[in-house]
Amino acid sequence: MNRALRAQIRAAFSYPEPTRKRAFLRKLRPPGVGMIEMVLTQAAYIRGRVWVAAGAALIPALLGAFRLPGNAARLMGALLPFSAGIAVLETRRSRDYSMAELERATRFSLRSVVFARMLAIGAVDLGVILLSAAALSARSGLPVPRTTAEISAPFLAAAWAGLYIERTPLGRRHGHLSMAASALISALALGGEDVGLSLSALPSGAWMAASGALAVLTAREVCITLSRTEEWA
Amino acid sequence: MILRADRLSKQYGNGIAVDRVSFELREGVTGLLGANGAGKTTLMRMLTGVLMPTSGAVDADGIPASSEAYRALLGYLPQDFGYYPEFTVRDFVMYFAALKGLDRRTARRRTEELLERVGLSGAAGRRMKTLSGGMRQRAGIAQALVNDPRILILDEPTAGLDPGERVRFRKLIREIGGRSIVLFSTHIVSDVEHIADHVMMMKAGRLIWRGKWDASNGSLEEFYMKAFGEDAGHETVCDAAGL
Repeated sequence: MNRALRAQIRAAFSYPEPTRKRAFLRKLRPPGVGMIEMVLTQAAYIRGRVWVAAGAALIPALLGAFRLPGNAARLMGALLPFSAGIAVLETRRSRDYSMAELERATRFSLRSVVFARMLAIGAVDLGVILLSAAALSARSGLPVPRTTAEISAPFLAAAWAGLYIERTPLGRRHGHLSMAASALISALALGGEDVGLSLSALPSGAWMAASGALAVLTAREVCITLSRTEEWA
Repeated sequence: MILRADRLSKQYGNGIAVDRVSFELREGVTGLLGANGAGKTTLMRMLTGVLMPTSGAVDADGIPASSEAYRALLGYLPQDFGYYPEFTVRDFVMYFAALKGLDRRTARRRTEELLERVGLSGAAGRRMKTLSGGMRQRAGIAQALVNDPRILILDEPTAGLDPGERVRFRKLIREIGGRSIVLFSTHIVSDVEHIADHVMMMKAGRLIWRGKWDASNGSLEEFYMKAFGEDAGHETVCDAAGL
């Protein structure tokens, strides 16, 4: 049908008045929302200070990977646990501010909200780890998997310890305990060599096995945290 | 749409907060009356899917309360609620619009519309923590309505509202009741008399009376006082109202 004919028809006949249009529209199921959209929505509502704090840990770590002479893995290992600690703290935000009741009654449930927040911060952390690992490998000549394992192990250890602490009654009452665990892991990563923990001398296989195990433990803690989020709220 | 509660019970240890409550609600406003501790909040939390019943079930046209599809139909205002300290009133409502799956454009339009309806458009940019209790309650009402819910559950919605705000709220709820199932709890009898088409009364976890209240039944306030007097049992209550 050509445009002129369409215009003539439109001019000749008026549109019928909508009847029960609103009732019909309300009966339609709302469109689905994908996980990426959910993560982006939640990312927009993560407090500015959380991003600032995460940036304070991640930006020096990233700059260190590109700028510092020699192997900067120690510095990165010391900074990334704080970013993990910040992600862990986000899991308790609804509870801390008594928003859990309202969030649980929404379409996506509190579990999805917490998961989306962890994913938003975790995705940024992962991006920094991978970028830094590539930069560090190029500078140090070490293989990328080893460098990735070396800088992600302290991050994963802090995430695992923080989530574990958060699910204990004491940890649920005191949010700063998980951050204290991050500080301890950071101190170990930075000063471990000075107290006889020669971590950098470990073979690549040991690093990869350790970070693999920590990744499994962290994933397990994430699942436990999500499954109990509504119970703890 | 029919909201159905089937032998709903909630037990905490040896105590029963809600005891085998069954009812069906259709579009319209239902007031849930009961003294403190009668089990109103527990019942409402089970109806929203926030609290799992010990036994029994809730569904809306066969959609179980534990499903996403059910929560998509729902608007809920709990008795107490918090807010993130950095939120403005607009952020607060927009946040729940996002959690209820509204696209950004619709969310913005609905938020502005509702803030106007609850008299908060002038305070849309103010932080939640700077609001009075009544204003906060109105923001809570706006978030409950943002997805144009087909089931609206309000726990003590008039608490903290001044007389002017209460009149405005009654008008709003009556209008929503024309197209949605609205259940609100209160212990203020006049709110029920002014807004509700139907009344349900709870005592000690049990539904002791439900039905349509009209003037021929006498004063709801008197009926309520008898129902919640120390010695008033189920039979006494029904006899008193000639039911």
